[in-house]
Amino acid sequence: MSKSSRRRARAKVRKQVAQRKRAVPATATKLHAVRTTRAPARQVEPPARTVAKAEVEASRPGFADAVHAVLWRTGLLNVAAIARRELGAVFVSPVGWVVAGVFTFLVSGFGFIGTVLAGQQATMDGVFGVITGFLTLILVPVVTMRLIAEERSQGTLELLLTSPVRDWELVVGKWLGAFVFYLLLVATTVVYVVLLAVYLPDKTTISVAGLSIHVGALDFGLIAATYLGLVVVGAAAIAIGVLASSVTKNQIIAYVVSLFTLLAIWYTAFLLGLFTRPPLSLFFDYVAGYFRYQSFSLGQVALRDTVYFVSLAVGALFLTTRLLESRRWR
Amino acid sequence: MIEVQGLTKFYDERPAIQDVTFSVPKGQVLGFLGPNGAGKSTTMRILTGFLGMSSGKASIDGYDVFSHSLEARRRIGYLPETNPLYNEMRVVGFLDLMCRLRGVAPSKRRARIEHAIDVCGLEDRRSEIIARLSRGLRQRVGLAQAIVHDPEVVILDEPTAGLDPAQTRETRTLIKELGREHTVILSSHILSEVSATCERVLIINQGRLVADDTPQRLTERFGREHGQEIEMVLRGDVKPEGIEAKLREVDGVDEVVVSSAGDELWEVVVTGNSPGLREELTRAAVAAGLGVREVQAHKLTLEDVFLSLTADEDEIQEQEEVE
Repeated sequence: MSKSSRRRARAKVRKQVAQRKRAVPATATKLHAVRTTRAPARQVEPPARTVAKAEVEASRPGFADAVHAVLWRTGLLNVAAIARRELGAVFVSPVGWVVAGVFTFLVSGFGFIGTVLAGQQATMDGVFGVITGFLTLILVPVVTMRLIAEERSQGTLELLLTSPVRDWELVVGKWLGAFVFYLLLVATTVVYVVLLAVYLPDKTTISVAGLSIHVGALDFGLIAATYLGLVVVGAAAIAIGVLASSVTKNQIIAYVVSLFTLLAIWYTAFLLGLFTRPPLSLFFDYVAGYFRYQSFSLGQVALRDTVYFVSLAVGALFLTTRLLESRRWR
Repeated sequence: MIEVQGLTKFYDERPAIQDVTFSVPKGQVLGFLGPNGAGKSTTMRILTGFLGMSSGKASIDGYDVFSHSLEARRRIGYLPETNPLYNEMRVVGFLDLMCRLRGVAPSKRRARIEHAIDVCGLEDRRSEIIARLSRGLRQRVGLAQAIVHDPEVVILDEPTAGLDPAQTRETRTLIKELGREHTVILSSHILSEVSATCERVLIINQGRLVADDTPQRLTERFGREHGQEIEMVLRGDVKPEGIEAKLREVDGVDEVVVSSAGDELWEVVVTGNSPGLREELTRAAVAAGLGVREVQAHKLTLEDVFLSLTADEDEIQEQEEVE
């Protein structure tokens, strides 16, 4: 018998012994584990179950359920649920606060201190300039870049689209969430309208609901028209941001794409209109977003401008929906 | 409950699954087994309506997953492979969102959420932010969202991937529980998981179904076809050639390999195919004047079935060359 074969035999014996030793405690721990994991679970379960049952009985299906059943079919509830989450996510993330902070700083700095206090002009033009020149162009893409790109990169898109959520509900919900955030930001600027109205030395009297109020001499019609314009401009800008966010997983790319698309729509056609002759220049003039919201700030609520921005928004959201749907055809 | 007929999906030119056909009756727990990249996730993504198919049909409870996608999706709960969750949300808030998106009536919502939290053992983590949860707890949240709306079909893509052994065991128990009320499809590349939890196994390889049976029957059938392997340790002053010759005389023996395991100790591996092979071999060894120290049948596991069904032709050749 050779030395090596004896060593092998000993190794084998050792292995067998080890195996047997292992075999015993293994089953022991298993049983033990089963016992420890099962026992507390059983103790906890009965009260929890009864609580759940009690709640089922407490809230019988009633009127709310009937309304829900009707509304759910329309898809609006899904839109609302997605928008609500989106809004929540914006306020949880630092991005939302940074955007809000930068915006407030710029509005008070350039829009109010620069124009009204230093420039001695009693207008909202500075504030509106910040919104159109900065918020709808540079900050909106910051908010929209993550909307769908993040869902894609995190995989949560799979979670949403395997739920009974139609593609358009997802797209509109995302858009709505960002749009409400935008509206909140724009709404903060109403503070400056109030400041002007209170502190402007030239006073006029307006009557609201039968009450005469002594306020600063501002063109309130113009301000209201401009706000309306800002609402539709923002709606369009956010829709374009949603579209850009749906073409990629990468948020940086989504940002750059939406920034350049907005630049192109707002200004490129405007520049082209300068260098071309009619009838081509007329086309570019209409297509240029710049002229469209200019007319709002002149106090005109023109149907064609409203139609322009609304169709821009609807078109972008429609295209986004189609892009999302395309995954099922590939 | 689930009908799949000739399902085929191409990614560009490459087929991900080809002509997959199966059906799952109500209440069955079905295991989908295959190596990575075999097409398990693709099949599940088509069933859940996330992807379209290139050809073939699939329906859930009679609703085609493509043409009546919304109706089909209402009936499923799905845990994707990567278990995506909204990290910034709290557990309860997330489950509430999922309830809303799946159209759970307002009066049932709280009870459903409580039930899911209870079943998945998330009671003390209900208000935790999801980003702060450990991997195992995230997996439980993923399971909770898959069952929160009480779907008829639960589709779980690799539900125990990345979990530690204790968590894996918990998850398996949970899946078994689910199987009592729901039709469950789960995918895995871990065999013990499937044999422990599933009543039926589909083995898929390179996009094609290669087997469809219960775990027990698969191993049995495979054992009959490929024979069994018996390891013996014998003792005695007999030459190895003598041992081999004696054992070969036993009915049903195909192959005998004898190797020395020490002083008059012989390790023998016999492959063969007959019901009482171990007894026959023991008798033959004793008749040859050998002492029998150990007789052990190497039990065929689903793993052996799986490996032989999914091994490539060249892999088999490679193995043979190595041996």
